[in-house]
Amino acid sequence: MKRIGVFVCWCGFNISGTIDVKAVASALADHPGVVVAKDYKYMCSEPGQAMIKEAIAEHRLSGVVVAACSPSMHETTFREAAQAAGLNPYMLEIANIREHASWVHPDDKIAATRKAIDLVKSLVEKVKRNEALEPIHVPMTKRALVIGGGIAGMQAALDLADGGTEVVLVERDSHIGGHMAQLSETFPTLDCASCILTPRTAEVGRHPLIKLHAYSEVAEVSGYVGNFTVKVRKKRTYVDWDKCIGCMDCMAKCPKKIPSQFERGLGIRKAIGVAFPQAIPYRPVIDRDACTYFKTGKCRICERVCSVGAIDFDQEERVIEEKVGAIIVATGYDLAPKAKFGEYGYGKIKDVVDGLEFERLNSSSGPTEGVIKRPSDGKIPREVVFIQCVGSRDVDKGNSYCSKICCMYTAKHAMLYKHKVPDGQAYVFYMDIRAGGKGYEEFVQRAVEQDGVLYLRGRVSKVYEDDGKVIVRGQDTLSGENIEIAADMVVLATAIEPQRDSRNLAQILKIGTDQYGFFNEAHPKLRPVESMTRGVFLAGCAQAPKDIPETVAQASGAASKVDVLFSKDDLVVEPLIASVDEAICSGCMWCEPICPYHAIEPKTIEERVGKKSVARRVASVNAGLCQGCGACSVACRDGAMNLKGYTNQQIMAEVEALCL
Amino acid sequence: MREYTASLKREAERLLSEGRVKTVIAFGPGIDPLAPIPAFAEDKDEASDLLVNAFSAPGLAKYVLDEVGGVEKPEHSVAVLARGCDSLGIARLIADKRVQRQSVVILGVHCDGVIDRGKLLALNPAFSRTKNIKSVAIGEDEVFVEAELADRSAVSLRGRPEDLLLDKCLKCLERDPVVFDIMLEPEAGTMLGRETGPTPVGDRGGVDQGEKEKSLRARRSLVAETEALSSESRYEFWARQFERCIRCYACRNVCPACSCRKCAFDVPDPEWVSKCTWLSEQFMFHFLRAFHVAGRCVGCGECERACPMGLPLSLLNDKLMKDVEEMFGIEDPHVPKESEPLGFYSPDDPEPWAKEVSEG
Amino acid sequence: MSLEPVGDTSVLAQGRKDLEAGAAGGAQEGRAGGGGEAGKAGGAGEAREVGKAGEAVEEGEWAPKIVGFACRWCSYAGADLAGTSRMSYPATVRLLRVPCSGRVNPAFIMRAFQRGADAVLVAGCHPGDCHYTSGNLFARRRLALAKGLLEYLGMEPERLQIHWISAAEGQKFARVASEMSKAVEALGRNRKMREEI
Ligand SMILES: Cc1cc2nc3c(=O)[nH]c(=O)nc-3n(C[C@H](O)[C@H](O)[C@H](O)COP(=O)(O)OP(=O)(O)OC[C@H]3O[C@@H](n4cnc5c(N)ncnc54)[C@H](O)[C@@H]3O)c2cc1C
Ligand code: SF4
Ligand code: SF4
Ligand code: SF4
Ligand code: SF4
Repeated sequence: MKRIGVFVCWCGFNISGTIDVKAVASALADHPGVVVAKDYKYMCSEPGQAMIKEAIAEHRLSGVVVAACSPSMHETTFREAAQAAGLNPYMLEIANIREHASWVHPDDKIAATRKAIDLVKSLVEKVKRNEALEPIHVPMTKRALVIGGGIAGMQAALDLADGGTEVVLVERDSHIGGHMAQLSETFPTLDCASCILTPRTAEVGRHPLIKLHAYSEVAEVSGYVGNFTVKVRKKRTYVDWDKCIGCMDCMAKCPKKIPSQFERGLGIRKAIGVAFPQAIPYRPVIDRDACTYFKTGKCRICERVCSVGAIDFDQEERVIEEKVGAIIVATGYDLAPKAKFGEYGYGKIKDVVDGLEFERLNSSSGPTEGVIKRPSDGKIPREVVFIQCVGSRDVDKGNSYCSKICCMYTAKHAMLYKHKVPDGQAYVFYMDIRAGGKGYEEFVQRAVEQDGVLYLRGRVSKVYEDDGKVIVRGQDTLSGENIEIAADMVVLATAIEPQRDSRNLAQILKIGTDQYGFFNEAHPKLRPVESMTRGVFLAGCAQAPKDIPETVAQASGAASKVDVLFSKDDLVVEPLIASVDEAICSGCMWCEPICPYHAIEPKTIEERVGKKSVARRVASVNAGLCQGCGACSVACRDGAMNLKGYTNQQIMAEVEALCL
Repeated sequence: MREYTASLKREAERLLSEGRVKTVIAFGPGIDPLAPIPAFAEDKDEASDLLVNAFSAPGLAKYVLDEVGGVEKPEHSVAVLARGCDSLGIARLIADKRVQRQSVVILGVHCDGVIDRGKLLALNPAFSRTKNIKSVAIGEDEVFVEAELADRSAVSLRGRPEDLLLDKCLKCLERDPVVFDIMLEPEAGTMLGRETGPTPVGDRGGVDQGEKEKSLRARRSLVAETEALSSESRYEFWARQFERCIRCYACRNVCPACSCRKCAFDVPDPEWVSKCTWLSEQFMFHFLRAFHVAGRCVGCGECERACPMGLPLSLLNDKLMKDVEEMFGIEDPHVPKESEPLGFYSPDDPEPWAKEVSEG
Repeated sequence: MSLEPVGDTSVLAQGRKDLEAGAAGGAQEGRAGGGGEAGKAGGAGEAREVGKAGEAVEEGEWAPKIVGFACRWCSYAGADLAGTSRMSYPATVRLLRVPCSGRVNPAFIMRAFQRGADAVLVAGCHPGDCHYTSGNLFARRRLALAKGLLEYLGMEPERLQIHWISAAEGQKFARVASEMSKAVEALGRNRKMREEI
């Protein structure tokens, strides 16, 4: 037998001024299943709560309805009181007769009272069907995986490791640092990028709590929040990094020179070696496609010069397994490919370069040792045209978004150029200048006012080569004039795009991407560093284009989210989640695509039918992932999927009571 | 309908003797030559009794569920004869993961339509004494039936398709199977099947687009007529229909989209629909039946054919199918796909209620 | 309406016949204000008079009964805000808290009409703002179909309304409640699909 107690609060005059609380209590006293119905001035007060507790004991109540203010105010208070009196907290429900009745129907006391009675009855009917629920505890592995070792991934890894959390850092490239390692100076302060980056990469490299897998990729992720199993594929370096002591004799002696990717093709490297002198880990990799031995079967010079015998031409790819409880995705960005920008001569005209190439030309450790020389003939350019928004805010090129940082780095480039070539002229074609950020607008103003950079508002229509010059044609939309500049060099601020394989990684991680391939945050405003999958967090340009300060802030945000997750002994989840009645479930799995958290999976159960045992598929809900939206329960036609706390039975009963 | 029985038998015998399947589901002679019944052949002898002809009315899809459905690893496979509508139903069961593709060998057959025994008898009651169907020809504008009667006399009839074919065949959406393993060939002499291997759903040979358009138009115009009525008249219309429903659940039982282990209508708690047949429960029942197949109904018309009370159930299904196509841009909504229309969304989905509700 | 067993009659033709009869019946009713064929058709003894005649009798007593499903994150909180802002609206809407508009099964809506609701409101977060990102988008699809079907079965469009109401839109909640109330009052008591009362 259900034994329900109803407690009607006056809330001083807030409720009782409009609603006849006595009438509500007495109407409910007659309701089937209600064994006690009382009213009191302030239910949430100590004496009010005591009244409820006593009644629970005295009447051996199986459920309680408190008719009072909105559940968002005191649901927790009353549930705790119920628990203190030995009643399962989920056996208590709130009927909202203040915000939803007394306060909004002040002029119609009879109608308000009737409505209040209906609301309370409806919750009594619900509570009769409530089920005692216990919070669900899920054990956790307090270890984090960070994917991508750019500034975002490094920051997150360091924050976590400094706080005592073990971190597995997986970097696809042979070294960490990401794009920031390629930058020369950084806006808005113009401090040298490697000066701020190198100490960090070194710290990551030697941190006892950071396990770095460079030249590796995440191949597979299974499990769920607190309990992921990650397969990391360690690509073949052909060098045993454990034996190698980093003397780089191999690199010095290797006869094969190839264009360096790190230098964006503007410099050269060897078939074996590191990308740049400060690379962490400072361990060589053989570029199989370039290596003479792999091509012709002869050479093996590196093997001969290596004093520790670390070269291993027969090395196999290895897959290792890591167990982690949380994942931070920080795989960064890629620049829009050259092939997209034929009209700007990019890829055809040597002296048309992109932003990162210009960074390398500027870098004191770059191929020109920081002297700005144009790629075609090494001459110092006298006139340089910078073009912004190349491929950004451009629907035809598939990117309608703003790449956000190009305005700033173009101003930086133009400024750096003027500092190095004071008598040269820098032109910038722009659509708008977006310089939101601390000290950013001032930075751009400085480029214009102090360094005399000429900003031209408009789109470039054509770029072509003529007699050693790069001719840029465009229109200044402010003056309406057609402009033609015979430049020595053109720098394109090409769009920041997601990594080409971001959708693939999204699939592995079961997180979403937007239409472009940037990873989706769980909520654009309130949960910007979480993904839709619990336990997977986002940082840096992998989520959307952003500059270094923002990247670092987001990375620290993600790290502290992981810390919050790990701060508990185990994962405690509210029991208001979906559950499957396996006896009914048909295994159609139409509920599966509905769940935004990928909490539903097929599972096979064995069943005895007569003497035989048959296997049958049913849906199963992962308690660690389900957030209790209930959308799946409606997709399920036979009602096998139900939502605890809001079951079909409960809602139907509430509806019926409201209509009577 | 062209003659496929010989080819069916041959394929059935082959599949059974090769041990590829345990059962072949097709038709066999009933008591009444005008009403062949579903038949299940397990050996050569039984296979030699199989048939398919222009009077083979029942759909066969749901039998596949009974034979090999609902389990992870069925002990054996079955073969099933499939006309367009049967194949849609089988594809539905596969898409709903109730039947596994590899456990069914689909014997596809072209279908020109099935003769409605009731309609034929209404036109000429003499056919009720049929001993033997001698010939049937179903053309676009004319249907011809000739039979030998019990007294050895012959009777024949020529009529319009509307007057002789099953209603579901008059609005047929697929005359050829949308999924099959073996296509049965009709030519005399080479009565052998053409083994094509499993085809993906929707990869069919020639569909007569013109005919499909005609069927669709017929369906849509009835829906449009209904939509054009006032709310009151529509309510009255449906009330009159639903009042007749005896809740025999034949519509559900034959429906290939109704394959739940335990149907919502049989679940005691919550009681979605009570067993009472008063009008309000009838509305609930029919609303839910239609809504539960919304986006998954294959338009096979089996529900309507099976209903002993003649409820126009297609008029409900077709409305939803039309809405699914128009609102969510789903092409060929009757053909089962990898995802069902209610299983995904688009950020630009329409809000057909905006019109009567001010948002200002 | 004759109830000949089928088997030898065309369902399609029968459907057409019924449609015509329905249309005629409806038109007749419209003019006569209830009764007609419809009145006699009540097989299960249902009070199914439609039109205005029935209402007039009980007008004084009657106020619309509107069952509202509100998602707890947005619309329920929006209604709370209407309360804390002391906006006043008619006491006709009774809200039921669900986690998300995606939890609203069309069967719940039907059940409300069966048991005597004069209208049903489903309120959820604005598309794009769902606490669970996509619940209301699935709800939008389902409800688009369900509402279409409900109207196809004869329910007046105004009786099932879907509104996106955010936690900040107390005002909108109050307005929706008032407008819905007014619209339903104009339509009168719902008798369609409803159990005998
Ligand atoms: C020309 C130019 C100039 C710029 N100048 C400035 C400036 O002056 N100031 C400023 O604040 N910002 C500047 N930026 C922006 C700056 O580069 C970014 O904000 C910053 O690099 C973002 O860091 P990140 O870690 O998110 O991404 P990235 O730097 O792209 O790092 C991502 C890392 O993840 C690795 N990775 C990718 N995919 C995988 C995978 N699947 N598995 C494992 N590892 C993977 C990559 O190899 C890389 O190491 C500039 C950008 C450009 C293009
Ligand atoms: S819970 Fe329902 S929807 Fe999900 S697989 Fe089972 S029957 Fe299908
Ligand atoms: S209730 Fe929501 S979150 Fe939980 S399994 Fe269902 S759809 Fe996923
Ligand atoms: S509802 Fe009717 S037409 Fe649709 S699939 Fe089921 S039986 Fe066929
Ligand atoms: S087959 Fe006809 S009578 Fe039987 S339940 Fe379905 S609609 Fe009702």
